[in-house]
Amino acid sequence: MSSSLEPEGSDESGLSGFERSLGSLKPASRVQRDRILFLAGQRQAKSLKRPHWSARNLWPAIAASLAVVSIGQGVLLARRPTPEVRTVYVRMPPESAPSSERPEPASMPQIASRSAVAFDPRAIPAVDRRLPLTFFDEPGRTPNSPVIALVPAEKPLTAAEGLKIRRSEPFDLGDSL
Amino acid sequence: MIDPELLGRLIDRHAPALELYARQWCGSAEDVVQEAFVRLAVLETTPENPVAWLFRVVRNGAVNAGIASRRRKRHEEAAAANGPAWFQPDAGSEFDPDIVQVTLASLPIEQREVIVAHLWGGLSFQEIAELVHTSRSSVHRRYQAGIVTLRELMGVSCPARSNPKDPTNPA
Repeated sequence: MSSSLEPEGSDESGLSGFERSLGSLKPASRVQRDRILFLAGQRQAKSLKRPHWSARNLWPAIAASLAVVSIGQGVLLARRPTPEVRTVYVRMPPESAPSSERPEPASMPQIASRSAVAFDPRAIPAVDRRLPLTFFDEPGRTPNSPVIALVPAEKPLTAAEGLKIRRSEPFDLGDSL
Repeated sequence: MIDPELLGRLIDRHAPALELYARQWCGSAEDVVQEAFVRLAVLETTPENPVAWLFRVVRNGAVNAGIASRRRKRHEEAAAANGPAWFQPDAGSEFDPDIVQVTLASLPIEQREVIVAHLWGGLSFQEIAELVHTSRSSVHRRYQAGIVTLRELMGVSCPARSNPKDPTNPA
């Protein structure tokens, strides 16, 4: 079959006659050139159109971060502690004090605007002492803290139990009472 | 991105050899080769040696495709062996393409892939060694052993100068 191959030896490429004859056979190909080029172009266009992964994930990351912040703030809002109620005990004024000597009752906004040092419980009439007084942090806002109510004392307060503006800091009225 | 003209030249020049190379492992060789060229087209930077890169991708794809097809259907391997012809019919050739195909298919895969990559793919022994992750001398031994076996199976006597230990050599 292959007597024509003999004698043989390696050529400059290192192939013998047998190898050259084998290599002369052309492999059959069913690969479609145009289809490959079309698919390659299609894939290139897709890869060019698609942004980098960091850019692709930028907006989802921002949206996720904002969602986490919103959920966290919602949870904090739902679990916010109830407003603290502070009770101020006011010493009853002496019965012998003539009512005519009492000054004009101060209106609530005036009380709210006064400082704690200038507050004089004797200036409040008996009927006003039964009304809860609410101090607003800001005008027109729902009170957050403090909420102060005036409650009549069941018994006369001692000097040590005097007017307490703050729980932790007993207010010393001094000579004002 | 690779130049389309270069891609077209690579397809014209190497697609048949790559398909023959892939056919050593699987029946869907044209799909493997097509995917390799498409992957080459979308690479950010063209490989230094595109041909060697293509052979490596085709080899990996063909091996995987062969494993997958054997898992899917056991008889597909036999169907692939009896599938399309590996070589074009050529009246001027000294060998019958069908005989070459059957003989080549009877070789171990280690020898077959080296012979196909060297004879039809045009890869050097060094490139094949890098492709199959072995030494150049090992690749050369496989190639020589495969050629000797092909000679024996095809009834081609071996010249005394190239292989003096060949038992078919009358000298």
